[in-house]
Amino acid sequence: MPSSTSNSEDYWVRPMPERSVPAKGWTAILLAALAIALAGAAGWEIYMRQLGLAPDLGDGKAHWAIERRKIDRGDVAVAIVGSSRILFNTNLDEFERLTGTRPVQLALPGTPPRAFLHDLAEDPDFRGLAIVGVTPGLFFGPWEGLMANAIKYPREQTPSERMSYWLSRPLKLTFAFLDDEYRPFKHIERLRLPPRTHDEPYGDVWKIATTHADRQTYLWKRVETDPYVRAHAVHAWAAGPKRPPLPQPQIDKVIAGTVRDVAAIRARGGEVVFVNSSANGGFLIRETMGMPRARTWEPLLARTRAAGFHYADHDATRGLVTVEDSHLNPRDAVRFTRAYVSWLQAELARRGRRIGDIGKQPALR
Amino acid sequence: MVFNSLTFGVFFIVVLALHYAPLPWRVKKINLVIASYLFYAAWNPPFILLLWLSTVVDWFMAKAIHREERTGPRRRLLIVSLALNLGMVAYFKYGEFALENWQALMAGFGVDYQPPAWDIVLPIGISFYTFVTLSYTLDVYLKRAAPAKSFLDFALFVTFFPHLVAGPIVRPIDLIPQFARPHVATRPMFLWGLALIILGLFEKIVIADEALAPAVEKVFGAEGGMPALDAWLGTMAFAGQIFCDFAGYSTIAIGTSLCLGFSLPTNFRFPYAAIGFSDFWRRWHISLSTWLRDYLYVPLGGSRKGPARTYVNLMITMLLGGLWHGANWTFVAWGGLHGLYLAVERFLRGRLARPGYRLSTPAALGLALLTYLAICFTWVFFRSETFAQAGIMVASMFGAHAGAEPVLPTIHVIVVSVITAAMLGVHFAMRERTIEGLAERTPAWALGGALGAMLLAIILAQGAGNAFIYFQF
Repeated sequence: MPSSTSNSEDYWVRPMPERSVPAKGWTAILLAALAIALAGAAGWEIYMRQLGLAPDLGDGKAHWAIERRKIDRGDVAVAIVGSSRILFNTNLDEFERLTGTRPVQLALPGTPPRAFLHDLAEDPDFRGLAIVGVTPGLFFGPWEGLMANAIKYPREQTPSERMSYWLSRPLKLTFAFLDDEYRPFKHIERLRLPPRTHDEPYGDVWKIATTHADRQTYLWKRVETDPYVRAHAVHAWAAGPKRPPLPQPQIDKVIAGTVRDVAAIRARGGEVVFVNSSANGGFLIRETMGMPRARTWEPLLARTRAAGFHYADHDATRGLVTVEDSHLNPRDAVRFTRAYVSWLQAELARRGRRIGDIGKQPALR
Repeated sequence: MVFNSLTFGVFFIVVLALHYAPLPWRVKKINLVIASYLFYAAWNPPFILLLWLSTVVDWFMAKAIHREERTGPRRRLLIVSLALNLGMVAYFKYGEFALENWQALMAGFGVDYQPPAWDIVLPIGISFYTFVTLSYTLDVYLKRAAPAKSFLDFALFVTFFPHLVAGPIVRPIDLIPQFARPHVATRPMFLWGLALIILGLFEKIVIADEALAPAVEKVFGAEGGMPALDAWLGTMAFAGQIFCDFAGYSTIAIGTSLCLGFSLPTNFRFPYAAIGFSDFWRRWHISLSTWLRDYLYVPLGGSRKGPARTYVNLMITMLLGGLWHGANWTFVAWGGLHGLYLAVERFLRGRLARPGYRLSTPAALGLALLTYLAICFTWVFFRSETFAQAGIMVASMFGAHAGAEPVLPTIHVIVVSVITAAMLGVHFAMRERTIEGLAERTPAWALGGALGAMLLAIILAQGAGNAFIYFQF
């Protein structure tokens, strides 16, 4: 092809690009750069492990999408939706040991489960048992939550994003420094400097969890062992937005929507139960004062005609103490799981049903 | 597929392996075309049909235009090509915008028009590859170039993955001759390409996403007004973010092409050292500004039809250039501001410029800073989603909310200030230089150290695979 056939004006003509290459010993330069980067990364890895980090998968939309797609198989017997408490406080291995069924964990931190329960209710592939974690401040409120956009992600995730996630998993299971919460800039952001805004640098939630296969999530050990990190977590919960008590119409609206979703799941032979996990300290005070059981939990169970496990009603869970006011440590999470699964089995047996058989039998009313 | 993803890393290794395998040149070009389609399909597979359609139609239209000597039929063939290319962009990119504006117009006449729900996904990079194919057809129509001889070369010119979704917006002359004969990189070329990829990834992952984006999100995500310091720093953070994001993309694109043995044109030349706005547009997104100049401003008459028409042409070009960036009136306002700046500059130059006058360094520095601040002001409209938000930002910048609660934590004030000062210093120091020249003069140990530090920062920052800002355009 000719480079051009110019007309009278040659404003458009430009030479074919021919990039110059600086005359340097690039092999040695790039090898040195690689050595520096690898040595630096190794040093950072050692430092991160000294801080208590260990390789884990981490959580996020991509990890959640893998679990959500399991529902599409059509044979999932138990799915858990909710917020961080049911996520941290359910031990999937213990659940499976007790019931022979491994639940699909769909609870998301800082995110009300209503939209996710509705998503299950609308999905004809789901005919099993939905365990709904109820953290009153989130469940009955009008807000969407931190990870509300996860719900669309299984459909919107690009092939490239899916592949990148799968490529990242072996790396995340090898290197502790690949932790989103401990990137170098996170360290910089947490430097103690004269503050300009009302709550820096403590307002944000720092790392509190480790996440493993099937989104098995544990409270991070350092939250238990390091008073500073634990105190920060307590502070972060208290530093959240100050909200007035929920108005009754808002609570009624949430319950009405939940009633519809429960009915839809039952119509396909499924079932729904609610679980209210332990809370202590400032969280408990705020929940008790702002959203008393009589206004929230009790009407929810009554109107949905669903069974509910409230930690305060059971000897095995009443005394469990949350580490930072909101979540149990991994050992107590096993106890909590054991308690609510035992209750669940008994409750279902009373109705003539068994975990694992739900959805395979005609619906009971 | 985004450059800053593990998927791209694997993809690029496979592409390189095939490109350097002992295969015939034609097979290597077919490999590159297939790889480019995969690169695009990794985002949304069905939309490769649009890419394919655009390629095929422009291939045949250009051939037909070239064969046809009569003015009328040539023009009709061009219109078919323009209608298809611009029609696709109009439908996917501006359909919803047009409906919303029609609804607002009808409401102005008291008609309650409810448009249907518009749930169309914007094909990534459609504005970029449309401009690429348009430049080909227009060059043939204007008899500036003959059609490509090989469909394979043309298809590769349109789809070549380094430039496909965010430029540089290449012209036929940039790539088609390079595809005509075997191209592989020499070892220095390949390694320099890798060095550029490291630099581009550093700009994108470390500076744009990690260091500056949090401050931008805090300021532009704030619900009300803020002190002037926060508004200005948030805007400067965005100025740095969008430069590092987009220039980073272009640098990676140039680097990946070099690794394959091809040269792409430069897209940025240290734009924040610009003295005046015409200088800025000679340094910022050069492939777009020259495209608009050559295919819009000049055909409109350019500066050949008198001062009044020149100003009108400038404004039309910049308004449409603004709209090219997105379906929102805020982008049009951004383009309008640039058109106004260019017009004022042209007016002042015509009256104040003295032949042979050279600016002293302090004067040049002062004018560059003034230009930078004026450019930052335009970024407010580019980044804001609504005029209401832009209004609050502008009011904040001029002290209307001095008593408001600050939104930027101390650490962000420090990070943005340091990076902005460093970026302006580098741009000014490099104003008349090139990155190649700088590398040539820098000792090897310093280059190794700098690249090692950048690579380490990339690894530690991890990168969440955030899409490049310009993908949405």
